[in-house]
Amino acid sequence: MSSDIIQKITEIYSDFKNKLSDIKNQKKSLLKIYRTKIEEAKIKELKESIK
Amino acid sequence: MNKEFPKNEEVVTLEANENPVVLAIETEKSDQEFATEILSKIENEINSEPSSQAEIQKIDNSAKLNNPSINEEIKKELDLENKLGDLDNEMKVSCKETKSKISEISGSGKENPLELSEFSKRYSTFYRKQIAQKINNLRFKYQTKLQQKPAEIESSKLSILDFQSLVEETKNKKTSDEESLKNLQEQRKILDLEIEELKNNLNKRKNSFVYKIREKFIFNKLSQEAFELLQSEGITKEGIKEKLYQKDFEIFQTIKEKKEDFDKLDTSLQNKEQEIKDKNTLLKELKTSIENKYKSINEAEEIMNSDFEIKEIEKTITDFYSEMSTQKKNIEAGKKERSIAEISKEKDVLFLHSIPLEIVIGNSFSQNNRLVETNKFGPEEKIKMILGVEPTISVSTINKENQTLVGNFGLIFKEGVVLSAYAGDAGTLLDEGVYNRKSKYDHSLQTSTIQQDIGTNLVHAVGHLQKRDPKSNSSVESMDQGWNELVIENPQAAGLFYQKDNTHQMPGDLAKAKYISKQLNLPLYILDKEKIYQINEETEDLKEVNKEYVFSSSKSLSTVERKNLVEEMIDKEAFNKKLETIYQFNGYNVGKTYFKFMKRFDSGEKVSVVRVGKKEDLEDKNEILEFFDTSFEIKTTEFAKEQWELFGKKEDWEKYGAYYSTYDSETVFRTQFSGLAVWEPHAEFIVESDNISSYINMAEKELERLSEQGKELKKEDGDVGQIPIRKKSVLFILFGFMEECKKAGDIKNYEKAKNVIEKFGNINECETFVNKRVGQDGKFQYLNEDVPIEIRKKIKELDNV
Repeated sequence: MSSDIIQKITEIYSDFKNKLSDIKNQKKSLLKIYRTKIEEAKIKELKESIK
Repeated sequence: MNKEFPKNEEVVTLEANENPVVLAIETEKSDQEFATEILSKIENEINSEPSSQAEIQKIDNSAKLNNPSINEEIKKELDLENKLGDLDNEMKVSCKETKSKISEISGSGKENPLELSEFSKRYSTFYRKQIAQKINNLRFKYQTKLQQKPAEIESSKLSILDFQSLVEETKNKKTSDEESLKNLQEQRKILDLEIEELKNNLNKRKNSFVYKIREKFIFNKLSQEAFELLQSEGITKEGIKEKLYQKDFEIFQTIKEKKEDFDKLDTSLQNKEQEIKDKNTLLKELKTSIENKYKSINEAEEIMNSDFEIKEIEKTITDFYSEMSTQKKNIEAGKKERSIAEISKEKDVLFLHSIPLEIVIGNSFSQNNRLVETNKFGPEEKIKMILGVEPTISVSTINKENQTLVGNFGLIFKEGVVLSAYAGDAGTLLDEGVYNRKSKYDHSLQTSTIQQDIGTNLVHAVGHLQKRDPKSNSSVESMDQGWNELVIENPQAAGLFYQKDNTHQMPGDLAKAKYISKQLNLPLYILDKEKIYQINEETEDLKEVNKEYVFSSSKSLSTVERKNLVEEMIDKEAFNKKLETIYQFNGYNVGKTYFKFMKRFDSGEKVSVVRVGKKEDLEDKNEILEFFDTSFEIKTTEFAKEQWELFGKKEDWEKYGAYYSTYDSETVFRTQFSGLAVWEPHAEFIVESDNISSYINMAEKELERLSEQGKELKKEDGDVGQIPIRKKSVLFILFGFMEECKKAGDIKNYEKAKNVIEKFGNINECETFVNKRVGQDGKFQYLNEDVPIEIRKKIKELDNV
């Protein structure tokens, strides 16, 4: 097996992993904001229900 | 090119001493394989990422709001769905780009080796088996060569040493002979001279004056009286002469003796010369032998160092995958031509698969599919199997000529891919699993189940019956049935059909067809000659519909529904167990039962071992697989005989496929039918034994016989066939027997049986199997591993959709 091809494939894969990780982080932070907002709304609902 | 090939999977396993060189060749990774691994990793990473919708749902579920519109407002405010959608899209694009880059670099985009391998497993198991067998043979040849040639070389080298020492010895002897020859020649020369001298001496004396005088005057002048006087004194004339010529006689005698010596010497000389000649010949022969031995060494080394077999293996694999690649391209290119939907439209036909509404004796379904337990398959199960697993099946087309079908009930298909097509009944069978279906008469299908020239075959096979030419499929002779046969994969059902007969009557059980339709939520259509009707479930009124309606009004099953159907089959334990597992389980039971029988027999009871299936199960049993899990019972001989009478004569059992076997203390009769021993295969040896100890002896003998047979077969071509499975069967019989010995406190025979098992097998393996497979009730435990690999793969595939 030629080592340069392996090296190239490994590099491409590594770039892909980085990119994927970046996208996943962006998705995570978006979902985190959504979760926070939902939780806030839930607390608000609960507070209102207590009144 | 992918070097992956089945070793243990479908073919004879190369059992021991697998050569590292050969293995390395078959497992060596190419650029493409490395690329494929990475591509598959990328695929997994993308697949393992939960969908954005699922993530949102998870959050929504964790904090459920009383007012769901707030969720939507927040989503809108954050532009959540669009942003997540963009990110998902970005991920997909990145994945696609990366895959494309890798494919470009490695060339795997052109041909994905894993795909080719999967392709061959789906369409070419029988050819893969042949190829794998060929590879195993080559591997065996290579290993044998590597094992035998060094020994041959060593032996030749030893022979050369022997020859060389023989040469030395001969040369030494020859030298000594030559010296002897020289001595002899010297002696002869001296003797020759001595003789010559004596001769001269004698001649001299004869010529001397004294000699002549004596001759003339003394001897000749002796009177008659003198002679007589001398004779009376015992002195002869010759004696007188001798006295007179004594000296001459002595010389003459010496010459004579010397001459004799000379002759002897001459003979010795000739012998010696011959000996030297012989030694020269021997030396020449030895030289030739040494040269020949060197030649053999060179040849052996050449053969040993040659990688012919390895190259042949490589070539075989390469050729195989190249063939698969061609076929894959062919089927991909001809998708439209092979599509059922297209053919239905173009030729105005319906594709139907008949399913008997009743369980029929000798039902072709059981013959055609060894994967499933036929007795657990009614029409509903068969339909569920087709809908869930989507096996490759055979179908017939029906057109306005309304040709004959095999049965009057079954499935209508709206989609699928035609792999092969025949104008008549082609007798298609599954080679194994659920996809490898091909005609047993079509000898043109040598390498896969895909007919390459499908266009021509479809022309002849599908269309008006009168226009079809049964002889036109040159590959399949004699197809004169009324129905045609096509093998299709990925069948997608549009509904159920129920076909009226030629007199427009409804044959068979319409109520059952309606029940199945309702149970499976599949529309039922009535076919009557050229017409298709939808049936009103309540009133049974018929409303005419067309083919397009049938196709468009069907709903496809969801992945979850299909998965549920497959899992239902698994829960029903509908798949056949491996033969080896059956033999082990049955063997264990045979051993246990036989011990109990012997005990009772020894105590004087008249008993028989009876193995008999339930009356209602008897009808459709014609395979050894189906003798599985039936109980062995010990009954009185009287009972056994009654049963025998009850089931009638042997001919009747054959007719009904019933099975009944006994082994009893009186008549010791065993029965056979369909060429199969109903008692238990590989347990024949038990009839030879008449007590517990001799039973163990017979089992040991049988194991020895099988081991020897295995060795012989291995020597021949490395293929030991069914020997390992047969050995296991006997080992498990003995193991069951051993357990019963222990229970009965018969320690002597327990130890004896244990020793035999340990000699020929592995007692831990037996214990593990029994713990795993034999339930507390003595019944067989069905495990996930009993589900055929293709079915497990199918579930995984449905999970990933």
